[in-house]
Order: sequence, then structure tokens, then C-alpha cells
Amino acid sequence: MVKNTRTPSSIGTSHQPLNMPTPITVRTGTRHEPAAAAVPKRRITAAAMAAASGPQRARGASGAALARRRGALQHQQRNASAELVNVAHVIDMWEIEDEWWRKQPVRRRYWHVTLETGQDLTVFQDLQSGEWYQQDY
Amino acid sequence: MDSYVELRAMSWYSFMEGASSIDEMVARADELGYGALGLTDRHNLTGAIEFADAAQEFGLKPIIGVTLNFQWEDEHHDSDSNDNDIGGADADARNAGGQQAVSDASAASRDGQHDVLTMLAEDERGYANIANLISFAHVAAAERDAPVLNSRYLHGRTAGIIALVASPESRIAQLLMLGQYDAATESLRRFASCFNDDSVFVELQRHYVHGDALRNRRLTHAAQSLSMPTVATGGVVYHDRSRSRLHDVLTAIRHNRDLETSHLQRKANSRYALRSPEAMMHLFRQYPDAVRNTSEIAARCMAFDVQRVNYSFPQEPVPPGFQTQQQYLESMCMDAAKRRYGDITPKIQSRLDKEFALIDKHGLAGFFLLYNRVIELAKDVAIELGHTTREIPVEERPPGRGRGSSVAMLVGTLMGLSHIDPLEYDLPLERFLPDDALVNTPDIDLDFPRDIREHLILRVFDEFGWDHAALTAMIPTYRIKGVIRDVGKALGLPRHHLETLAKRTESRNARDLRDEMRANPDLCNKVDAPGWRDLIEIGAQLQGFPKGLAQHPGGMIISSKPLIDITPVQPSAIDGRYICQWDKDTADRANFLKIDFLALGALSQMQECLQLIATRTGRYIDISRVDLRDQDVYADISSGDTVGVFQVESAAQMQTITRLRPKNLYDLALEVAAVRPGVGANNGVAEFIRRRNGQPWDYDHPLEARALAKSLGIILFQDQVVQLGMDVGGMTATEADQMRRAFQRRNNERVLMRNWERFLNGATARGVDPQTAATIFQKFNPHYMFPEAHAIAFAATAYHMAWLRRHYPNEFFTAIFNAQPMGFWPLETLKQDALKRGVTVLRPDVNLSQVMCKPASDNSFRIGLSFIHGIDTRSANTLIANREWLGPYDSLADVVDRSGLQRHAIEALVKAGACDALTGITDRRKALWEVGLRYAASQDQARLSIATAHEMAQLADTDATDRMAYEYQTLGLWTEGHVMAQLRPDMDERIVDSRTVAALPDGSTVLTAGKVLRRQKPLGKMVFMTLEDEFGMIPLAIAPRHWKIHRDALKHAIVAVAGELSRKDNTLNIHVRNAWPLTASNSTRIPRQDISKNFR
Repeated sequence: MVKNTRTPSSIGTSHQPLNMPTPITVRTGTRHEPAAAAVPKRRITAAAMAAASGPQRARGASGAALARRRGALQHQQRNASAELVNVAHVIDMWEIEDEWWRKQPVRRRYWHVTLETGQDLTVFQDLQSGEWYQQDY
Repeated sequence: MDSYVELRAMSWYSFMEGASSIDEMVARADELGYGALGLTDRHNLTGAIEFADAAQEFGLKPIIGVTLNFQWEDEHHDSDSNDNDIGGADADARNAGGQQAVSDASAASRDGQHDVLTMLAEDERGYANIANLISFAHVAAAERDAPVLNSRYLHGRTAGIIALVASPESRIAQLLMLGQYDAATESLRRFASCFNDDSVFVELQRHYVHGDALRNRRLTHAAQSLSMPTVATGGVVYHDRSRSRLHDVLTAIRHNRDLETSHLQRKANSRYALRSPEAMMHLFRQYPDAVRNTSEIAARCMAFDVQRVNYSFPQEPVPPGFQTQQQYLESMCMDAAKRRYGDITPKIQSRLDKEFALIDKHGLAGFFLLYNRVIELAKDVAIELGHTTREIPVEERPPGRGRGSSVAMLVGTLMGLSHIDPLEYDLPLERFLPDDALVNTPDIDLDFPRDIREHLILRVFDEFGWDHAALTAMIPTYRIKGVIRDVGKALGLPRHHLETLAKRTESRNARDLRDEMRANPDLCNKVDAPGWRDLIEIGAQLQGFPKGLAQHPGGMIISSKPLIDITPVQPSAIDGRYICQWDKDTADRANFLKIDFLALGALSQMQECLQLIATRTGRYIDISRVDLRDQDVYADISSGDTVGVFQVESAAQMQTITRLRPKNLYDLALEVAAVRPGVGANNGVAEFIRRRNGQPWDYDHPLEARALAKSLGIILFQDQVVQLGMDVGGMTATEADQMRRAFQRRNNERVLMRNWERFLNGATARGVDPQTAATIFQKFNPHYMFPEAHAIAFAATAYHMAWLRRHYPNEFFTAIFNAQPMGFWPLETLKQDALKRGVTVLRPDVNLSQVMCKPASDNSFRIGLSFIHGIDTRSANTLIANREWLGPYDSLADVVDRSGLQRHAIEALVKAGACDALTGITDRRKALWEVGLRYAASQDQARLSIATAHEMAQLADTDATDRMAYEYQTLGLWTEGHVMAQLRPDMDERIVDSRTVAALPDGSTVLTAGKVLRRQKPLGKMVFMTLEDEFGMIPLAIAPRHWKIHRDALKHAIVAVAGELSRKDNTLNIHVRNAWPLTASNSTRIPRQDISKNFR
């Protein structure tokens, strides 16, 4: 039998959530559609994120606080290493409204766009906060 | 580009799916600038006529359609095990798919294999085909709630239909999204081959849902490959985005889930609202053909008007010797008149001639002959049930009796449709059959004793077939309790809180939910909490929403041409019955010949009462010939001595009748009509009483005189609203009737506003100033009132019952016990009233009782064994069969051994006193001990008949209070006395009884007590209660502020109250200021549910 290590697993350390939306800088057009997006030059790896957030976890930060710090970190890193690329055309747009009975309802408008670089990108705007996020699939 | 027309909207008649009423949808379409709108509710045409009427109000063109789940015949898997026979349908129906309608709707739904087909009626034939197809989808379905149209029924029924296929929820769309192009295009091709050229359109929808754009591209591509046209639709399920949360909740309720677990079933966003034509054209700017086709389809449907769907009266065959139906009808009536009157006097002949002429003029001979056929069927049933014989003419002993304005027809009386002689009471004919144009089909409603009605409904289906006869539907709607339970569950709120709230609410209206919560100590601080706040908001929206189709208590439609060409028919929840998809009002609106078969407990009581009298006296009384001027009977009625009397026994009626003091049948009709919510809504009852008692009054305008003269300027009857609309508002009879009906519609604000404008314009043109016009219009309200003739018919039945009660009280009370549940009062009150009439109610006896109550002497009757809680009819029959086979029971052991009943049943017999007379029974507590001994070993071995005397314990004797408690528990009444008499020695000596209360002057302060008989809160104002003690009743009135304080105390079974006695307007009430539950120790032993009754 494998001995219980009594070490709790936690998000951002041993497990990396899949497809979590990440903040992104978007410049909008006249109809509030994304006109340009800040695309990172290099991809931030899960290992780098884990390394960046590890010490905080060790000091006993909560999962939610950790996620917020990680998101801010990602955003900071992206902005530092990204440049705005114009949107060539919009492929699709859709909206999600859910969980309105909870304290924090979900209201998002998604855009599937092709950038001038030829890269496909799915971003959404949180209609509650106005923030933009990139959603990888 | 042509303008966009919305072809696909679902109203709240897409039950638990559509989240807006028809009025809301139509009004919104008008606001957005639409000229036409398509209604395509799922699985039904329930809202078709209402939609057409509402659209007409707004000048909108209604397009009628339906959305059906659909399955191809060759995709069916379990045909052998799930076939449903639609053998009752016509030959065409059977030709479509053979005798066996193959359907496996439930399997299809489960597996997600069904397609979706939306059909729009291009013309009358298309409409009939749609109604047929809906019927077959329902009737052939394996599960009642999961109709699926099988493709086999399409054969020969696609003419006049425009089909929209491949909506996002359809299998075709799903196949395309999965990349299965061949399967999807094959389905499209098959649809195209089923319908006429240019009548199948591929549907494009866009709701800003992920995949919409891709799906529409693929659908367009597939359509182009098959040269099929596309059409844009909105897939609308609510009129405004603000209803999207309600839609989410409805979806969760429909799938019996909560919001958290219904993610896959709910819509992704709130983009399913009606959008403006401009917005839709922008949305589909890439598909101009799809937009153009919306207006082209609308143009094709323009010619069809569902309001003109052709219903025809059934044509009855004419026997040899007669040329026409009219001849046959006249001959039949003349024969009956000779039997009834002997000589045909000029007065009789004149009346008959007038009626015959009107029947001929309006072409109603077939109508009356059909009624005659139904009455003959009812007579057959009555003969089989032993209520009459073949030799007794139907006009002498009709199997039922009419209500409504038809009572005025002598022809109806002679055919057995009515129970009083219109000549004798000079009833006006004009209201039933006017000499000018007939606006609506005459309506004859028939009341039957319960047993006759149950058999008659099935007999009519046998006679006419389900495709020619169906019961009208009834549409149950959401009220506050249902809202709390269903919405609360969907929101995941704690169930125990929901149950508490539902049980304590007093309002029926979910819009009062916030106030109800504030009044609840456990929930008053939650009104703004998440979840509860949503319950309040969504609950208010859900108020009045239809839940589904149910069976109307009696309305049946019979048609000469297939009924399913006009309205779809579907199986009822009760085996062997079918309902059409239109409710009573819609059937009326469509001028259907609708016969109401209503079960009336009072008629069951009357039937038995007359038979008991015949048994005792040897003479069967022809109740239609009793003297309607018997002043002894009116004396009883006028003094409020009416417990158990049909229509005039309620507390409100008793209060009113003593002030109106009717002296003849029409007075009684006025009284019966006055105590209706529609009259009370404007304080009409009190005002009418004041005017009857000589107070001066005047019309608001002289133009009211024709309508309101006979009711002293007060609106008492429905007919008077119509007459005022005509005389004051200058409306036609049809317009005025539409206005009257508009008040009863849900979410009718806009419609009422239009009616007000029309009324005001007409009144102004007649010289009525706007203020007076408004005063008159404000008298109209949505609450129920009687038509005048209906009031007369009910007054006659009320009089007959009062007459029987006066002259044959023993039989009257025996029969009313046997007809329970019915009426207003519990058995205990009926027993007390019987006692006042000299009739003794005897406790049940295992050796003397029958299954039901039976007279034991000329002035007593014995309670039947089946009245004992714990003894059902089967057990009662077993007891009696054993008694008749081997002789009377001689001991408790004998009862136990020979009956073979379970222990609880024997205990119930003992508690009810049914074993008191057996040898060796001296005391019920000891008898119960003996029962325990006799059943002690039964779990391990066969029960033996053994001696028990040596095991008897020393037990306290059973006293009167014990017996009272036992009998309340098992019978709901105490045969020996009254609970208040038993409690009185222990009561506070200041508490006075009902006799003393009755003698106190106005303004006295009084402290009294009694058993609660009823609580009532009419129209949400004062609460009225009635207490009962051993001497009579004590009426209470509780103002809202006192009710709020003392509500908990007043909900106990026995209460003491203090207050001020009022004798205003010759009525007696105690205005309660304080209340306490009666705390005498004995009262706690009485189960409250057995001795009080709550009314709304």
C-alpha cells in the first residue's frame, strides 16, 4: 500500500486547470467588437505559472486568492510580452448568460476572430465587469 | 429587401416552455411594427382562437401553426410493444398507417432521435390537416405527455401546409453539426418529398449561441444542394428578454430538475425574445432570401382565417314518415305536450308555435334533435342504473336537468332538457333564442347525478367516436402555492421553508408573495436574500400561467364533420376519454355545439331522496310539478334555515337571504345571482339589498335603464354587462360580449384599454359625459356572475331541495349524507341541523347498518358502515355479506372471526360504536382491549378464536368525552351530542353560547366560543368565519389587522373570541378583536382536521 503523504494537492501546484480563461488586452471597435488583441509572443507554461505562484501557496493563501494573483501575474506577463494585433475578421459571436440566481451571475460575450497574423483567437468580454479574457479550447 | 415577418413564436400554451402570454406576444409584435405574426405552439392549437382574437384587436395578421416532434416511420424500433390503437378515428385516419398506429414517442424522446416539424396553415384545408396530424401524434403516442408525429400520418394530409424543418433542436441540425451531411440531406430530401412543391423551408435561426453561424452555413449549403428554400425565424419563446429567467425556471420545472442541474436543457442566453423586423434583417443580412421568404410565407397564409373555421351542427337522421328534421322535432314535442298537459291550450300552442318558428329560422332543429339523442342515451343509462324505467316518459322523469338560458324553452322541457315549466313562470324566451341574428350558438348545459354522468360520457364516445366527440379542455393555472413549490424547488430553496410558506399563505396571487413572506416569522427577513428575491420576482411573472391541458368537468363537443378537422383531440388522463385542445371559452368563441355534462352532487342527493320517499310512501314525486309558491318553504329560506340546501346554504348566502327574504322563484334567482364575486366586487350586494329595502337610488345615466331596471340599477347578471355595452357604449352585441369576455382574459391590460376607448367613443356619441362613462365602465369586472336564466334554473333546484328538506327531512338528510362530499357544511353540522328538524342520526351498527346510510324509522336514519374511517366499501360489503349469509353477529369475537378484517378496521368499528350492541360489549375501551388480545398472535401464527376473559385488564370506564373523541376520529361527528356541550362545564363562565349571542343588541361586547366550521377570505378583504356550538352558529368577521395578529389562534379547531356584536343591515356578526384557542383539556383530544373545514 502506498503511504498517505498527507500533502494536500492544490490548484496551481500539482494540478493545472484546463482551459481556464486568462485576461487579455483588447481594443474594441465602434460596435464593441474586438478590433485588436494583445497576443503574447511566447506562451507561458504551466510550470512557469506554478513556480511563480508556489511561495504564496506555501504561506497558506486561499485557492481563490491564489487564482486571482495568478491571473494578475498572467496579465502582467502577457502585457509585458505582447503587442496588439488587429483583428482581420470575426468568425462568430455568441453569448452566455447563466447562474443568474447566484451572487455572481455569468454574462459573457464571446468572439471567435482571426487576427491579421492568421491566428484564430477566442476572447470574451465579461459583461458584468467589462474585462476581456482569452478562452483557449 | 422585403420586411421580415416572425413566423415562429411560442406562447405560454407551449406549456412550461413559452414564457409569455398571447396578449403580451401580440402587443409586443405590434409595438415592434410587425404586420403579421406566426404562433407555433408545441403540440397544440390551444391558443389559436385567442391569438386570432388578440391579433384582430391590434390589426395584426395571425398565422396559425404548430411545432411537433416528428419521427420517420422506418426509424421506429419497438413498434410491436408500443403500438397504440387509434381505432376510434375515421377511416382516413386508419388508412394512413393501418389499424395500428405505430408510435414510440417516449423512446424517440429519450434517444434524442426525433426531428422537429413546424407547420403553418396556408388555408382551411391545411389547418384541418394540421389539426388531424396533431390529433394522431397525441392519440397514437405511447406516453400521453410525449406526442410524436409519425411520418405515416403525413400521407394525404400535407395539402395547405407550409413546413419549416431543421430548427436548431432538430435531428437534422444535430447531424449537420456532427458533420453527417449525407444523413442530414437525406432527411431534408424526405421532408421535401412529403409536402407540396415550394412548401418546405429550411429554417435558419440565430440566437447568438455558439455554433449558430456554422449551423446556418451548413444548412444553407445543404438546402442549396437540394434546391430547397431557406427561411429565417426567431424561435421566439418570450416576448421580451426580461422573461428569460422565467423561461429558465419553466425549463427546469419541465424537466423536474433545479436550475443547477438543468444546464443542458436551458437556453444559453436571453436572446429568444421577439426582435424587431429591422434587427432580424440585420441579423440575417447574409441570407436575404431567408428573410424574403418570411414575408412570402406570410403572404401565402394571409387568406386563412381561423376564426371562420367551419363548424357544422350534427345532422340527426329523420325517421320514416318525416321529410325534415324540423317536422320530426315538432311532432315529437307535440306528443310530449299532450302527455304532459293533456289538452293543448291556446297558450301552450302559441308558445310552441313561437319556439318552432325561431328554431326553424335559426336552423336549430338538428341541434335540438342531437340533444334529444343525448338525453335518450342518458335515459338508457338511468334505466340500467335503476333510476327509471322505459315506460316513464323522459319529460316526466328526466335523467338530468338543464341550467342556463335554455330553461326558458318549452321545447326543452318537453324533451327532458329542463326541469321547470317556462309557461307557468313566464320565463322570457328572448335571451335564449332572440328573434334577431343569433350571435353565438345556444348553449344548453345539463346537470346529472354523478353515476349517470360517468356512464353517459363513455356512452357518448361509443356512439359518436373520439374524432367526432370530445370533452372540452380545462387549463389549470399557476397560483401562489404552486408557484412557491415549483419555482422554489427550481431555485434550490430549502423544501421545509417552501412547504411552510405554501401552507401559511392566504392569498391566491403569487404577486402577493413578498407580503406573504413578510407575514411569516421564519421568512420575513429573507425577502431580499438571493434565491428568495428571485422567487418573488419570478413568482409574480408566473402567476396565471397555464400548466397544461386537463379535462373540463363536463363540457363535451359533438360535431357532424370530424371534430379533428377543427380542433385537435388528445387522450385525457382518464382512460377511455378524449379532450379537445380548446377550453370552454374557446369552444364558445368558435360557436361549437357544446353540451356540458356536469355532475351535481345535489342531483345525486335529490335522486336518492325521491327514491327513498317512493320506498316509504309508494309514490314517486314528480319534482317538476311541486308547488313553487309554497310559502312555508320560502319562510325557511328567508330565515336562513338553509343548511344543506343547494346554492343557498353558504354563510354568505345565509347572511344575504335573510335580508332579501325571497317570496317567489324570481326573488330567489336574484338572491342566488347576487352572492357572486362579480357582484360583490363593486359592493353590489350591499347596495342591492339597500335598494330592495327602499333606499332611494338612481341610474348613473338614463341609458342604463333597459339593462338594469329589474335589478334596481345593480349589475347582477352577465347579460346586463352586454346590454350596457350596447345601450351605453354603442357596441354591437358581438362587440359587447367580446368586451365582457376581455375582462376575464389574463394579462389583458391592453385589450381592456382598447375596449374602454371603444366604449368611451360610443358613449360620448350618445351624449354620455366621459366621467359618467368611466363610472359605468368601472362597474365591469373580471369576476364571475351568473347569466339570468342560469340563476333561475339554479333557483328552481334550490327551491326543490328546500321543499324536500321541509316536507321529507328524514329522506333529505339521509340522502345528503350519502351524497358526500358535497355542499358547504361538514357532517357534524348536518347532523345538528337534522336534529333540529326532528331527525335523529344513529350511530353505525354491524348488525343493522348498510354500506350507505338508510332510514331506520320515519324520523331517524342509521349511518352506513362505509362512513367509518378505516372501513372501505369492500370491507363494508364483506361485513354485510357475512351477516346476511350466516345471520347477525353475536359477539365481537364473531365479527373478528367471520369478517376476516384487519385489526385497524375492527378497532374503527368499535370506536365508531358499531359494536356497542353486541353481546358482551359494555364499554368501548374494554372492547378495544379485547381486539388487541384477539390479534396479538397473528404475526406468528394463524389467529385463533380463543377465550380472552381471563386476560382482560381493569380499565377506566369509557365516558362521554371518550366516546366523543372516538367518534370524531372515526366518523367525523358525534352522534350523542356536541363537542361544545361537552366542554362547556369547564369553560370560563363569561363565555356565552350562540343563543345568548343571538339575543344581544347591536354594539354589545361579547365573549363566545365554538368549533370552527369554516374560514373564508373572499376577494382578500375581511376574513369570515363561522363557529358552531350546541345551539347554533356564530358568524364572525375579522378585519385584516386583527386577522394578522390573531391568525394563529383562529386557525385552531375550537376557539374563543371577544369582540363587538354588529347588527348592521339586519345581519349578525361579531367583529373579532381578540381570539384564543380554547384550552379546556378535553379539546386537545379532538383531531382538528375532522371537525373544521377551510374554504377559500
